[in-house]
Amino acid sequence: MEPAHNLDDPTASGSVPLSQAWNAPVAPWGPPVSLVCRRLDALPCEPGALAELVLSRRERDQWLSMRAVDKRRHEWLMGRCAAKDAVRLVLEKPLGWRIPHSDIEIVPDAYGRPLAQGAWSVLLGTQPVLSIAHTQGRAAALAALRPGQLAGIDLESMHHRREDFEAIAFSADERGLLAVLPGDLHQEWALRLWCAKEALGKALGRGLSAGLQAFHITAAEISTGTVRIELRAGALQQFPQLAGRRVTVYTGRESELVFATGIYQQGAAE
Amino acid sequence: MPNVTESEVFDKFAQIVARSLRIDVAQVTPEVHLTDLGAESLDLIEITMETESQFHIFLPDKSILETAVEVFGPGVLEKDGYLTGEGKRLLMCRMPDADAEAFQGDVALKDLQHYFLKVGTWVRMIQGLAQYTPAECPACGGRMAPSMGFRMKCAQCGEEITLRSGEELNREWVREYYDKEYRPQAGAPIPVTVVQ
Repeated sequence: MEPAHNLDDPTASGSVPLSQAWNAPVAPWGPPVSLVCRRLDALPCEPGALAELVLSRRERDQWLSMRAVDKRRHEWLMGRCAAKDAVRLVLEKPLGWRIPHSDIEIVPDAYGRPLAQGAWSVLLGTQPVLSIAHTQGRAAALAALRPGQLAGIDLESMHHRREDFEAIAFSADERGLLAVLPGDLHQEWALRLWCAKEALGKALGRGLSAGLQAFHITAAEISTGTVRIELRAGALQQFPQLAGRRVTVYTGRESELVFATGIYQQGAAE
Repeated sequence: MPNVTESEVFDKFAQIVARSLRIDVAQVTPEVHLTDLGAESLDLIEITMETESQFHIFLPDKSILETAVEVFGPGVLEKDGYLTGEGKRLLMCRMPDADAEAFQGDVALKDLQHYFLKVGTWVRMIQGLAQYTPAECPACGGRMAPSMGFRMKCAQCGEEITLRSGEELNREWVREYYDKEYRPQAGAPIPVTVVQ
């Protein structure tokens, strides 16, 4: 990752990124011409000041009225910072300038998928696709601009898991894929597979609402981090165009952080 | 545990949540949402497992709405991310104790997902499922105790029963609702999932 910007001068946030570039989740997808991934490992300054700088008025009202524990409020704010950076950078080339953070408003659609909007979207005539993930005080965001492209990202910490979560998270077939792995790899890949399901659910915009078994992992390649997922039951009803197809999700690990990204081009043959 | 009260369920569930999220149990109230208490997706899995183990129930892996959409087919209960009138009617029938305001006006699915993550919603779901976990053996009246997996065993005669899953109970309820409440008035066809 590129080094983080030190926000000594908070007023500089209009022009400089608050988060770090994170290329590992997007690298497997080829040249990142229309993909930007950003990550934030800690709050760059006091949360109230940060909210004042980066949020729109409506977002600030939402953040101030959020009745949640500090962990949740801080991660929400960090997710917004990473997401706004990702959107600014993915739009920089087509627009020719960087939009101030507070001019990018992130609101969920009716299904809960985050959407980036602002006056600039009228000029641009299109909207970037956005996905946000956070875990254990870290946040990451992925933005894509190619028309028809769907993108999802998920993160998990290796330290944050219950040993037997696989019994609920995976089907017998999926647990069979894990069973052949030695202990340390087994633990890592259980999280990778979980992240892969979450990332695809986010990319498609409905999360895992159709049920955990509706996202069925058919293959996992240790050497490349590639996971193939087939939709079933309720998920297939939501996305009938994916019948009989296996969607690719890339997974990876950096230190204690496991991640997955799913990019799906609507209308693509595979 | 057919006679367990809402208050008993809440007290026990609050302990599970507090322990899992490492927070003070006083922070867990019926009105708070699990995500606002800091729960991440894997925490929800952990809370699910602990709840199943302590209440001897088998929680569904998706909401009643998702199960119903599979039976009704697309576009009947939700459209473009919002509940239809039929969707609201089904949910109000299934959850008569639900907060009335949860189904007023335009109800986006994201708001519904948020509602399903309320502690109070979980408590009512747990209490509902606990009705299907027998405290006494249907054969001899002896005390039932947890056995392997989702099974209960009579401490007296050894009779074993398999617990019904929340998903199975939800699906059964939806099919009955479809046949008795929805189909007669809508003139709808028999859903494919029922034929199967």
